[in-house]
Amino acid sequence: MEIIKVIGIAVLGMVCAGILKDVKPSLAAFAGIVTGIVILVSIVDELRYIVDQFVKIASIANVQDTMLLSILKIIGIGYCAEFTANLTDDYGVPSIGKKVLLAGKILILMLALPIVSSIIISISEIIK
Amino acid sequence: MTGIETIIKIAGVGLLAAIINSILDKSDKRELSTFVTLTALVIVLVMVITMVADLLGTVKSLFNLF
Repeated sequence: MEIIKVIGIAVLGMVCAGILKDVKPSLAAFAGIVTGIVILVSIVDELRYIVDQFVKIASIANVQDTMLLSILKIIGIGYCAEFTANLTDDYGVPSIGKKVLLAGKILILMLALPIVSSIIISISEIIK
Repeated sequence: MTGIETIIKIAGVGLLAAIINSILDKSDKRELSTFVTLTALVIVLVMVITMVADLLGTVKSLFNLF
């Protein structure tokens, strides 16, 4: 079971961060960050499989490619912003993380606008 | 499973830096301990930066965020 592997890595990282916290506090944050990265790298295969299935389902339901691409992009941007925000929290400067989240929201909104406008246009045509 | 050794490496570098600092304090060469801390930080930072670059690279290719 993959979850056991993830728990093992998390416990290892927790112990290393704990040791480093009283020996060399500035490096403790890095131990936490690297543990997070290792856990995510071990999950990437499942994520890749999910994205492939997502694309397959979308092609069956003949969703236009542009819409699907921007949905995937939105997920990616949201995830990267979240990761950076956690990174800055670990290091003790949460204000930078909040700025990154704000920028992520703005970028997501920019990507979502074409979809919303196309929906509104199609609705207005139906009403006519 | 790649990368677990990096976590232990970071803990090792931290412990080593702490030990070297205490040795330097005992032989009252206190001004050198700042350089030891700095080098430990730089080593760990390089390790972490390469891992973050790999992760963001995979995320970029996964969600084709070009």
